[in-house]
Amino acid sequence: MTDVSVSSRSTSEAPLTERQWIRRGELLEAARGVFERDGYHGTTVSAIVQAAGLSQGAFYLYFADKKAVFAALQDEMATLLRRRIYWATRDEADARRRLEAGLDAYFAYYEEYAAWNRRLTIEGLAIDASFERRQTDLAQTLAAAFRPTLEQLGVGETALAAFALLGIAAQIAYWQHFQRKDEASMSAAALAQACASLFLNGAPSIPAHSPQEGGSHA
Amino acid sequence: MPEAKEVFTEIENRIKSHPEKSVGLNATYQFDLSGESWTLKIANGAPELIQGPAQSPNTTLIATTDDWMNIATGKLNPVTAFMQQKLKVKGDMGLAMKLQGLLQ
Repeated sequence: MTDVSVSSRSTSEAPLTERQWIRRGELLEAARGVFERDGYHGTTVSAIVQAAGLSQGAFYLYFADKKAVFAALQDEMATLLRRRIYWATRDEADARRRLEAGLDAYFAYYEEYAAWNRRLTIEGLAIDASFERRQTDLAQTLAAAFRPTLEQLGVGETALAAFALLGIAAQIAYWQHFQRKDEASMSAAALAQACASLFLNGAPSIPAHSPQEGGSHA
Repeated sequence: MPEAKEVFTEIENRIKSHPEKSVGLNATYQFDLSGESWTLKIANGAPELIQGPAQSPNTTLIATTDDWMNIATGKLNPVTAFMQQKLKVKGDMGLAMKLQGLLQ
């Protein structure tokens, strides 16, 4: 398996003009919508350019193929998540509240980009090894961000615990958006509190959720 | 929400902590926010943060302070912000994209 380039443009090419930057952005935005709607395997370059209102020729000025667009989106979305968690937790002195703030940022991000996260999880990671590697890099970064907090909370095996926490959070987010039936949804903050309680104190510690606490999301 | 200074200091620190990403880069970025300007000079990969405008920036990024803070803290996708004209870029677009790469 080979890695994919984020863009077909080489670094030695002339800088993008504003118009080109806008077109690249239009392609990325349109591609995300098509990937979310049709899935990776169901998406074609034709569908992306049609959604963007551009020509096939324009597409290949910026990306080698649909795999390159998906990779660029994966990088872009990972950056958003890392930034959100970093800034949400950076100034919180209390370890428990810092853990909940990080989880709140995670669930808020997942809520905003639920369809993308679903496609990335179900299809994206199987495209080739480079996609799994990028997602592993993201998980390593997030785990590293949570480990000092877990250590402060008395956790011994912080690496194992951090990955377990990420796994629990990912499953809760997927359940919230795609698996729960006939139940009121919960806000990102309520999910974060429940996830932290489950992780630190066990399932019996999760407070009962009343419908009034539900969030406004899907 | 952090202060603008914290965000720019973080950007400077991030570039310093990943020198391999900015090797050989020479660029002056100016950030025009609501009523304040910041300058990030990168000389041979070494960043220097200055409060105030630059004399001759290569790239100027223009946004309200709120929109810029949302971009910097991951709450607003920079591509979306650019498409919605919440973020405007004057000058060398390639350097603007390079900056995005430095901060990933």
